[in-house]
Amino acid sequence: MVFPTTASRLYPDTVSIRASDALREQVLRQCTHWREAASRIGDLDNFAAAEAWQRLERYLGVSLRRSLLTAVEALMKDAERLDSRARRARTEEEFELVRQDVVTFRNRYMQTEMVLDFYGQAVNTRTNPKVAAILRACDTMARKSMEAILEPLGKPVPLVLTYIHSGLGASILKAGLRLWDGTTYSAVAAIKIVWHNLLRPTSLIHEAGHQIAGLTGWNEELALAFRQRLSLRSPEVADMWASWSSEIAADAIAFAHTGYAAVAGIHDVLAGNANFVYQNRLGDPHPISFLRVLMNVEMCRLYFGRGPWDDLALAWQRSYPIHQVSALERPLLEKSMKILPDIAEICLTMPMKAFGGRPLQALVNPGRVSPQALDALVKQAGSALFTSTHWVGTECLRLLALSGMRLSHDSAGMREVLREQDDWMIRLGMMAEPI
Amino acid sequence: MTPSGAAAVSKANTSGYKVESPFLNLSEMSSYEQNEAQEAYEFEQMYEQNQYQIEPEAESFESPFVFREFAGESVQSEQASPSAPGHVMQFLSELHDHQFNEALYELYAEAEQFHDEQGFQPTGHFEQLAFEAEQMLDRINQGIGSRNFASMQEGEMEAVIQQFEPETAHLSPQFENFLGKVFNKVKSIAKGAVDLAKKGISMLPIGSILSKLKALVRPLLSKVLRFAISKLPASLQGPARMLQAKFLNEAEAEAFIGELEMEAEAENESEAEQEMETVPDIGRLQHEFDSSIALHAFGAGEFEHEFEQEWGEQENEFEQEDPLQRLHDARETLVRQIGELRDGENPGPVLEQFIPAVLPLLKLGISIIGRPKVVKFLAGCLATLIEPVVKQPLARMLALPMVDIGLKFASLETSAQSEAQAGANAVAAAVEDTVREVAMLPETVLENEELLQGYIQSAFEAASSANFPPAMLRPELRETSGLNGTWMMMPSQSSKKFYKKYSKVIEITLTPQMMKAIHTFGNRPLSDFLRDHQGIVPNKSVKARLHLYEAIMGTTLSRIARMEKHVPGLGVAGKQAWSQLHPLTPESAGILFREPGLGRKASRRFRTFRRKIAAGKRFYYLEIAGARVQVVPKVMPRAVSKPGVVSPTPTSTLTPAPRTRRSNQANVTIDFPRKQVRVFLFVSEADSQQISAKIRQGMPATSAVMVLKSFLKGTIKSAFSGEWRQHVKIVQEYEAQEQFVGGLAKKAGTFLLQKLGENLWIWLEKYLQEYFKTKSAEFAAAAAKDADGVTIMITIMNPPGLGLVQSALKGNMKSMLGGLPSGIPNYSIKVIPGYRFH
Repeated sequence: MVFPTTASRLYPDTVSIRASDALREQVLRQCTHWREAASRIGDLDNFAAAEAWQRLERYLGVSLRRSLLTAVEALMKDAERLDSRARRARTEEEFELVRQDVVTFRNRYMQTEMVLDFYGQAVNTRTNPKVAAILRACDTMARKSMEAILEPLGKPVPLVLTYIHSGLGASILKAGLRLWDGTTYSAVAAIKIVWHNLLRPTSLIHEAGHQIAGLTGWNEELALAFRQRLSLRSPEVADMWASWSSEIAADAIAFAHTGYAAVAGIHDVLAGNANFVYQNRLGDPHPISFLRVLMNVEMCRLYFGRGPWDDLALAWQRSYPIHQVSALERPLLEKSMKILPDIAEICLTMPMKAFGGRPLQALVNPGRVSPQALDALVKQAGSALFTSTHWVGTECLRLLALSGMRLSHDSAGMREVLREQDDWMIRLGMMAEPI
Repeated sequence: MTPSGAAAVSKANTSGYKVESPFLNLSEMSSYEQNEAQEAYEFEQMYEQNQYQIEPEAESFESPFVFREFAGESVQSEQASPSAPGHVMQFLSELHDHQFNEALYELYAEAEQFHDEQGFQPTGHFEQLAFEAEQMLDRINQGIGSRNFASMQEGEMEAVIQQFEPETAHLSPQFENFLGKVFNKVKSIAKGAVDLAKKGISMLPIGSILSKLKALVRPLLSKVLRFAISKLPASLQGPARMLQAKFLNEAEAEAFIGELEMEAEAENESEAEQEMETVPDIGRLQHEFDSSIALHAFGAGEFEHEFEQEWGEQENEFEQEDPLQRLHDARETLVRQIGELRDGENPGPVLEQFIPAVLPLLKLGISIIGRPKVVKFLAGCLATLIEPVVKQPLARMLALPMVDIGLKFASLETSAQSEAQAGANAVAAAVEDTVREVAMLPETVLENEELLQGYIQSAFEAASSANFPPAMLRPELRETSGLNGTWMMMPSQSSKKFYKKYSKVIEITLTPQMMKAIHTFGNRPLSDFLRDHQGIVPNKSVKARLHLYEAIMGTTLSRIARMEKHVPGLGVAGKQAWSQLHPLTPESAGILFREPGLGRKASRRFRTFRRKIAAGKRFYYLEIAGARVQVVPKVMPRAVSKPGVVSPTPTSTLTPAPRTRRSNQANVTIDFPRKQVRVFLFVSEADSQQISAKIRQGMPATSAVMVLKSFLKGTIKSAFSGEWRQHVKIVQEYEAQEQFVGGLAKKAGTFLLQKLGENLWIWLEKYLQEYFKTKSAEFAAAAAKDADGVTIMITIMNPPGLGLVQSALKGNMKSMLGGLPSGIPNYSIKVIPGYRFH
């Protein structure tokens, strides 16, 4: 293509040659720039400290690094192909095509960089050895919570990378999702936990629950179950709860594994101002907080009978009295409160195809984390409960339930319980073989 | 054995082949006992009738126990002191610690990694360790000062030494392990000094001995480095020569040398297959180390200098040699030359150049090295045998296994060139395997060309089965019926090959029954290993992917583990990786994936320790999703915090230290001089907690004993049947004037030891029952400590029959008659958190 200028009208051949050279030069320069940039991001230590990488558990670290390096290798191959085409190009048309592909490549590079940056930042939260040990413990607990459900179903259990960030609530980037570069699939489930809950990570199990529900198809099946079972009471309520099925599923899995500790954890995250507690946003998969806490309490009542959760529900309803809800929303909430026991039953006792025709309780028995069962565990293990590699390794989820329960109704002894939790989580993290 | 080779083999094969099962076979034990008892009785008859002269016998029976044996007629030696030799041997027995060999091997694996990956000898690598050891020994020396050990009791002495136990939290697990074992040597030295002082035997002051020990540490570590780069002689003669000159008579010295060299010889005539270590056993360094200490301790100062000088000369001699490197170079040359052969060209000359490079690594190949006629004949036969496969396009031949998904790693792409090289590698591997087998043949076969030809054919057929794709082989030669893989020399991208890998990764479902049926190194059930080392609870089936490996000359399990970087769970040099490799015997192959032809029999010698393996033997690694190496964390207890103050955990205590958890084991020391049997029952962390839980629940003592019984009975019985030598240590002293007889007397003594083992089990059951009835809280308290597992130490005083056993071992056949007396001896029990062996 010739760009017409005054000069080109006077000296058409000269300008044509110059424009072509200029185009070639720019294209080649950009190809080189992006190729060099791609080669630099292949050094993963640029995204997270070497020490942080070394503090990943070995299996996880090797898999994650391999996955990221594969993404970079694919990018490098593209960069080299582009560079090669640029060097072979002769005509302006060819250069223009290459230039357009450079723009496409640039976008791809940015997306790959985003992937590496995301995981790099996640890994970099392990720069401090103590935090790294606690995060390794979280990796182990999340994986064990998934194993309990996925292994009997013959499904592969994803690796977990836990990282820490500021904020109120946890989140997950599930394994198996296509990442920003469009070609790489997430090799691990990256779960974010937050600083205030570092030593009360029941939200970790909730997030792992999302991964489980996604892999088994439970979200959809639960939604259908809500519609089928609750429509007779109120189609509107049934639809509402069906729209919240993914969060309810994760809550149920967290409860099954950690009992009341999960409920108290949910409560503390959701106990904001009244607007937040009553908020009902269209399209938001999160249930109205007011109902969500009470639904979790119903799960406790279903399995454990009466207990400190009753006081929690009482306090909750006193702090957020329903009469403060708008007249428009109140009927929905009142109808929902009547069916909360049904919700709990559906989640935990109803056979589901997702679980091979079994209810969730058949795979993870909430009875094992009742206060009585946890007391029995304490008696059984004695003073070695939080120090023996055997107990910490095999019962880490029940230890999480135990610590969480103690923290929930013994505020005077909270510091001691937190210290104990800190110790055993570090111990669990140290039991993981490093990279 | 193939039909074509069988006829030739059957003529000359004098050694029967005994199938070794991982299961305990009680009927075989009974018949063994019967045979041995009959032989012993007949011998006694002949002896009493003076019809049999005791001839000096070379040591031919390898005792399964770790103790010093003597063979041959005693000789009145003017050199030997009347009482010193026995006490020297007792001292050496006390010093010996097979765990020290394990610690040396871990250091060796580190040094090997440096050498393989960096290409140089890491001379400064152990500097920190040497410094720490020297500091520790200085502290102990200063602390002990001029204490009079003669007046101390054993427990008192141990308490004195214990306070100098080194701080190791900042060290790597390998360094920590070595330092701990050097500390154990100090304790053994002190124990020996106390014991001998009470008997009026003089040694140098302990401070002087510790100074000598300190001076030996750096040279020892230097030798570990040299071992790693194959720069140490396979045979160590120096220490025995020195001991002989000063303390031992000729027969005793021969026996001591035999003890050092016995790992190089065939174990027993009844074991048909001769086996060859892939690398020299690093345990020899401990022999030398202990001997040097003994030389010094008993005042042989003038000999030390001579020893060190001679040893230095030996070292210089080997400085320039590296037989393993020569083999690598020869292999590379052979592969290239085979690839360059034109159709119709005779491969004989190429093979004639290669064969001499293999032989120096094969100690038994010495019989061939100096016989060019045999080498030429061998090369000629092999040339004929490989000619058909050299003619074919090699790439086509090996295309099938090369495209197998198991070898398509991310960075490895096959090309026409690499496929052709794979073909040449296969031919070279088959040649090497054949040469190795032929080198182990007896003289009678080597001298008979007709016989030799049959053996070469048979060996090449076996080698072909292992190295070429099944599709190329006659059906009866194929190793498997269903799998279509072959063995590839590895690493694939390097010209230096260190092991072979099967080209198929086999997917299996491992059931709890399979886990219990299969045994790994040390005769341990795989189920125990998986539970204690990988957190797999053996109550449900797990899916696994099996990676199979074969050892060649120069293979170590640490190398395999380190070089398998693409296999999840491997890829590092540490023990946590190589400890996951298990022996692939025909039995385990049959159970795991129903292809027993892929397994390889191995004698007990090569199924005991992972540091000692034989060429041609096979191993497997279980890749189990979700399995994680169970690491013992090094977490320091938090300091007591003041109210209102939250003390942060010191970050220096949080360095991951991958020391793997231990499984249950029972170890026994039979101490003849002290008339004691000491049993060390290590109970794994999982079982310790299970027992403690039962105690807290108020369950009867029997339930605790039942947990121990499940592993204890089998371990004690197999240890005393002679199967697993690392579990039984014997401490004894001999007097020079006594007569010693050879294999038969030892067999008789061994028979009585087995009887002792049976009694031991009965006593232990009783002791443990009493202990858990009255002192179970003590056990629970030990299990609650921050340690991996619990060791129950049982000391049995003057057990009935111990004297008879010792007498039988010394040749008094009459002591065999009448069996062992009955009675329950006195005992004491001590429970210690963590692991103790002696």
